[in-house]
Amino acid sequence: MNKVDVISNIFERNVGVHLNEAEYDLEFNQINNWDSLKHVQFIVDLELELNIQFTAEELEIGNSIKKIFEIINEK
Amino acid sequence: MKNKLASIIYNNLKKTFIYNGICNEAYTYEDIHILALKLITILKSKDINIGDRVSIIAKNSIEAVIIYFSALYYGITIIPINPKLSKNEIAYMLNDSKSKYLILAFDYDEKEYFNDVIEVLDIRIDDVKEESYVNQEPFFNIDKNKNSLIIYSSGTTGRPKAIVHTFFSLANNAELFNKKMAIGADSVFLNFLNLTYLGGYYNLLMLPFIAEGKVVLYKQFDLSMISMIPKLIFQYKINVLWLVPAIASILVKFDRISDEAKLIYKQYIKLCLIGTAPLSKILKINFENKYGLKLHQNYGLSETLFISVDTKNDIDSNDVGEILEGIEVKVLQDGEILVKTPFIMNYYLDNQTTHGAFTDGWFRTGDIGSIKENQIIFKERKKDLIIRGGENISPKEIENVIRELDFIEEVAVVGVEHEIYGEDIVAFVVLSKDSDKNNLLLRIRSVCDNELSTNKIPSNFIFLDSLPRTDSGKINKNKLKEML
Repeated sequence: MNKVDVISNIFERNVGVHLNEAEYDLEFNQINNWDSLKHVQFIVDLELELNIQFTAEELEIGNSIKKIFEIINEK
Repeated sequence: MKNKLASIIYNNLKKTFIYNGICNEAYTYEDIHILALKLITILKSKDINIGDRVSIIAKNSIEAVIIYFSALYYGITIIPINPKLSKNEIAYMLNDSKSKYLILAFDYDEKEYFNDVIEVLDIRIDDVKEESYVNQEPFFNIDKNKNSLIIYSSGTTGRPKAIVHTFFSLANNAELFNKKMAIGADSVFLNFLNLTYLGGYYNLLMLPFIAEGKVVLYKQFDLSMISMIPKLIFQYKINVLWLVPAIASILVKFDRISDEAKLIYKQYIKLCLIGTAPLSKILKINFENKYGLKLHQNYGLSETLFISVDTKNDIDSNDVGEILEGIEVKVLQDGEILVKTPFIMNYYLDNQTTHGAFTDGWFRTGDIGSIKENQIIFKERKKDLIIRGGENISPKEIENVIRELDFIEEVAVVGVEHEIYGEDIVAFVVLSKDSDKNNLLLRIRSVCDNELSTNKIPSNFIFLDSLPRTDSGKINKNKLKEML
């Protein structure tokens, strides 16, 4: 499983929505069933399972699977 | 009170009331007054009259502020609706409240759908600014008996309850609260709670207005805002923060606060309040240690408004503060807190609900607690209600939606403790037939997606062969919680 799939799976588990690759650049608030609290748990799980920590600035811009992947890739 | 409200405008004509932090614009008390009068010209042109009920779907915006003040001036009853609710939930509120119009204060995706249901009026600030107006006194049609606000709040029944308030109740209660907490004209609030709920509408807009203070209006809080908060505090000299436990929890967990930002919090914030949901002791301690700010809990319900507020400086998370002057509180033998307050709602729209909410004139809060030296100690809820991220959610409403499916034998929805949300939602399901569970799960999720707003959709669905029962045959929800 590549890293994008891992991120996508964690997203699916928290938000209850399966995103296909074409939807990775959708902003979270464009996704039905997303809400700000589910997003928080998604970020909590990413940090835990990938053993990373986002900065406040990264949290500010990390609003799609694609952007989250780019941020994680640079870590 | 009518004269007092008008004098707030007249005494502060040139003072800024709203800083629109989203687009960095300032609105004085006089600006708000004139824009409210201008909007009345538009309302009249649409045949919206005194006493009419009008629903509004809005994000946090200057439009919502102007609509609220204009409604108070003109004497119409406003029903604020969260745009995140599902179409069905909104349609229910429009119908139940007998709204004459639906005002949209932003580009709402479902506008076409509601065009077929109700008269829809789009309001944008630039259009309001262009309008002419008739010069009138501030709040010229306000009246102590006139209903000003209908707030929908989830209760223990399937449908949300419509709570009706006069503005006099809100204003008098706010005045009392402000006096107790020494909130005055020098106060600058950050409004990042949802303006369609009491937290955003009352605590962070009308209460600061009564204090003759200032409000920095911002979008509803989310994770992306963490680094923005100290910048806003510094830029606008914000000195009052009003949090909900979910926000405090997110700040504790994610705010990698710099020494500089910590200094900004400590230097500028003179008062940090927290309410709308129970606050755990550990979260209170962690927040206070991290930011060096004392969290003052307040207690109240949408029906009662503020009942108590913590004025002390010692740490005891179960203590939700001293009972405000003029409010009586008693505790029944089973621990339920009852309240008699002059600021009580006028009624629920549903007469039967109103009747069941009172015992001999005392409002039943559905909360369990005790009183010690005029302080309320909150223990737990008696009502079957979930509070997720500060929003009341009725388990029964979710159960009713899932139960509609023909393969469901039984369903029970419970709230389980969650570090950030306060409570999360879990549904236990018993199927009437043994078939592909994955497929059925998709169908359950699908009906939830269609019928419920996102915040009400359970995070977890657990299939069981049967649900545990109490001796009296009721579903034993405590036992279900223990299974998790």
